[in-house]
Amino acid sequence: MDNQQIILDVKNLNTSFVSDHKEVRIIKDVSFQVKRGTTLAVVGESGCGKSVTMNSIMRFTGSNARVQAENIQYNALQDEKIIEHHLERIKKPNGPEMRALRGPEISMVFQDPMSSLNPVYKVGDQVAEGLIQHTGMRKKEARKKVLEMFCKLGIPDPEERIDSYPHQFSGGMKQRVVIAIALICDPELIICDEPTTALDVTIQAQIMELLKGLQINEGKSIILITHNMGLVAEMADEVCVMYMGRVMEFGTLEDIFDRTAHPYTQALLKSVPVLGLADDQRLETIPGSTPNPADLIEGCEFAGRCPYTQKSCRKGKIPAFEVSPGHRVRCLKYDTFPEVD
Amino acid sequence: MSADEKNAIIQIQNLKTWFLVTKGAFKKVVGYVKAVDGVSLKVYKGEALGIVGESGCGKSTLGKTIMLLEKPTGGKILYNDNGTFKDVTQFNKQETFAFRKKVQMVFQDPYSALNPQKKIYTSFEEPLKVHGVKTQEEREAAMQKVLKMVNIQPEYLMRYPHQFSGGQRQRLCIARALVVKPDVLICDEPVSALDVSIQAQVLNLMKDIQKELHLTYLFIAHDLSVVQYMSDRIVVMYLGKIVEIADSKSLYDDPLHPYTRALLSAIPVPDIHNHKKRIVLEGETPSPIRKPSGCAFHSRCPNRMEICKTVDPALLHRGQNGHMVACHLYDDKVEGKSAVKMDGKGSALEERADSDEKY
Amino acid sequence: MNSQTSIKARNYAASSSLLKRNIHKFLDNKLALIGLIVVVMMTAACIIGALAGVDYETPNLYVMKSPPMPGHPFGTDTIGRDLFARVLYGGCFSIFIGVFCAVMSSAIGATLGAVAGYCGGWTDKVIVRISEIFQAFPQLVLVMMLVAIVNKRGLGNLLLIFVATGWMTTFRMVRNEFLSLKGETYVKVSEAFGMSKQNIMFKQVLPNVMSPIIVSTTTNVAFFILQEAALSFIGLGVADKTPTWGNILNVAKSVSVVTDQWWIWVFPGLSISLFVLAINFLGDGLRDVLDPKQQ
Repeated sequence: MDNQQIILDVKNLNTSFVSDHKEVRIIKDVSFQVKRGTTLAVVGESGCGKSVTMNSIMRFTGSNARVQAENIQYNALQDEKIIEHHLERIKKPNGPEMRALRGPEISMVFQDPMSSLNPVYKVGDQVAEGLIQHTGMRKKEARKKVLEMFCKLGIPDPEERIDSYPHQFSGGMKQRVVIAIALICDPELIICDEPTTALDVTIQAQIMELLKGLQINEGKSIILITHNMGLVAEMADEVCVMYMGRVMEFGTLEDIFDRTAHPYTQALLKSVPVLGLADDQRLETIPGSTPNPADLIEGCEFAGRCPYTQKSCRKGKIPAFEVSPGHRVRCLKYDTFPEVD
Repeated sequence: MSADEKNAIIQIQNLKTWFLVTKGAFKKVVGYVKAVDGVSLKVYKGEALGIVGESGCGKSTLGKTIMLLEKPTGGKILYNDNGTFKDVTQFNKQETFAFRKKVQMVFQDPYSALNPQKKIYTSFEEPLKVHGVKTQEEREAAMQKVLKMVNIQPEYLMRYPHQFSGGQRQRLCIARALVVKPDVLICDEPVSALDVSIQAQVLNLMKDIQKELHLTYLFIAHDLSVVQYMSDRIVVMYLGKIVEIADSKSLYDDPLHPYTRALLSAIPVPDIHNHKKRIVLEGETPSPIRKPSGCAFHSRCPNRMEICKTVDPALLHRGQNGHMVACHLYDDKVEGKSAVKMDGKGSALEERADSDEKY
Repeated sequence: MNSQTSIKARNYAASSSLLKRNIHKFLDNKLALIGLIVVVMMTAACIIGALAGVDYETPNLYVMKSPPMPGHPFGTDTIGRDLFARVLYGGCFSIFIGVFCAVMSSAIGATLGAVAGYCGGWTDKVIVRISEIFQAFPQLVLVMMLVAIVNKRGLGNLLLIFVATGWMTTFRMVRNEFLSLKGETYVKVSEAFGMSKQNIMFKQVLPNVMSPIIVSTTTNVAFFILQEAALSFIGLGVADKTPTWGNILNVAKSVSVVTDQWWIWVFPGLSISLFVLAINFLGDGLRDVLDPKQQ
């Protein structure tokens, strides 16, 4: 696939944190691609490293983190031409190169809308901030743009709301403002880190409609980080399943839901209560609990909880196998298929 | 006493829990948060009653009020104490203390539910001591019994809470609530703080325990799919009021209230071939301080009629098996019902109107 | 399984202890360890000195204003009393004042803070107002007032005033902690089990506030020692007869002593500084060890 189609290509991303003189590997050899104009869902439980992966790409990790990667390539499309940005080569995490990308090219929506907004500034000014920073636009013009954005995102009475403070907004509206901040510089790639976890289901439905609309109508690419398999089924084109800092399975929506290969993905899908279960139907459980990331585990990280564990699962490095084009599984059950790195 | 009443363990009658909203230095009362606003409900012995709703609908406050952790503003909570109903809200100190043994609660956050400075053993021992289990042997026998139910080894009792994972902690919390042998267990979002892969363990465990001990559950959660998995009957709440009560199957197969329908359709389903049509509600849940007039849901309702803006619908029996709903759509006297056109359920509605007459 | 022995007894050895871990952590903190050693050594020296009955009050007119020399390692004061003995004996009083006032004011502050924070409502309002009234009194004026009223400068007065004016900081801290801990689920659980208010306040919540109380008590010891020194220096502290570090310093009010007899003020001054510094190191170390956010 060429650079025209792929907007973000991550290869062998490793992130480790140093605490108490110990280096703990949180992200291990993570590779994935995001296709232009599609939604990639990154699923996993808390502590699986899905947020850290995105923060590593955006370089939002703290000073005690070490980020290494073979390749983090962002392909900007400008006037029909592809401009390659190699994020792994950028030295300063907050330097001018990185800052130029954040906002106009890649932007991020965080989980908690309550703490994403600064309570002492008017929301309109907070949204306009990005525009003024990146394009040097004048305040009046910026305000007009913000108004347009508020209309597009379905914020009622934009003329009035633009001069309100965050505390005057409800949770769902705040999240819309946060999305407005992310969208105001017209980025190509939007990374949404659990954007609706703090919100009610009916509001979640509204926000998801909004995001889906952005992808379909405006051709934005979206990375959706979530733990909710239901959201994945509704939103994603491709899915990346993570566990303990590793990509366990990567494939299209159909690959993951219809041809589920990895035992962890299977367990994850079966253990979620679904509406309309029969009375005597029981949920399947995954035994044990998520191990501590600081514990070094040899072999497959899921081996301790997996029903198919063999001796070979607990040794060495488990490679990923390509079971069908684009569908990669990190599990020895599929060792007859070609290995990919 | 009717058979229906005999089977009830808790009867809630027009329960209200309001919180004052004060303003300024002189604490002038400017309004009330009507967290629970006139809820009437029967809980039957041995059933699992689910209470579902979005944040701010008053479901947790309802649980806490039954538990007497919040003071009710009005109404009655009748508890069936061996055949006689006693009003819990009028209990004196001693009666309240005895009531604490009958009704227990499991809270949402297992991380703060265990005192971090105390060994698990102490956290288990104290309630038993308070409730008059005198000897250490008796107390430990009781502890061992409940720990066995939640599959935790008694050796672990000498550890501190931080040495356990979230799932283990919630299991410990359940065991601790059971240690005084309650009849009713109120579970306030018991799994929402847990990882997806752990949720199933805890849910299955809770189901098994209910069967084993013939407990009555009040299962409070925001996630309708979890509630549906756990409960026999489901109560749907919106802004402090009950909008629908039904057994869990009919609620899923045939939801009546427009809010329930929207709630059901808003839940993302992990199934890529069976995409249902989603009803996206407009707007946000209004603040419980400034509730809309009439039916509280009318500001967001896709089927609103003129009457909804002024008259608050009563919770009435519609359909079989005690299916109750508070909505003008099912009121024969209201004009303009033709507005009901939801998912081709218009015909089902007419049938229901027929069966109503038999009530 | 032997069901005769209790779970508690059987697994006691296997149980992990927060205390053990904290001690290990504390021993790793070199500065705090030094602080602890200095504090313990100085206290021990003072107590042993006092118990051994060093002569601190007989003036020796032959060796007035003598600089340090054999037999008088710290020299002698203006009327020829041995300064070393006086510093040791005075240390006992200074440290006693510091520790007693810190512990008492913490105890009062913690109790009132617990009651105010947990009960809330009117109880809270009344206690908070009382604490504000106390805080509005300038300590110095209060001391002078009491001295004027009882017409005598004494240890008891000083202790009373220090405790009466010193409990508010602990009170505020404990009250704030209680206000936030009151919302913790384990408090709700205890309420749901029908435990009594006293039980919840003092057996459930208070242990969780103990760490900041211990830290603030430690640093308060230093604070009260300094207070006493300051008051004694201006002549409002303990009666002149009783030597305290501050009282010994009192003579340094005269310019000639400051310029010509350096040893009279350097040694008690050094004792105060060293002790206070060590206590503060100890307090910082305890804060690091006990801070639950760092665990």
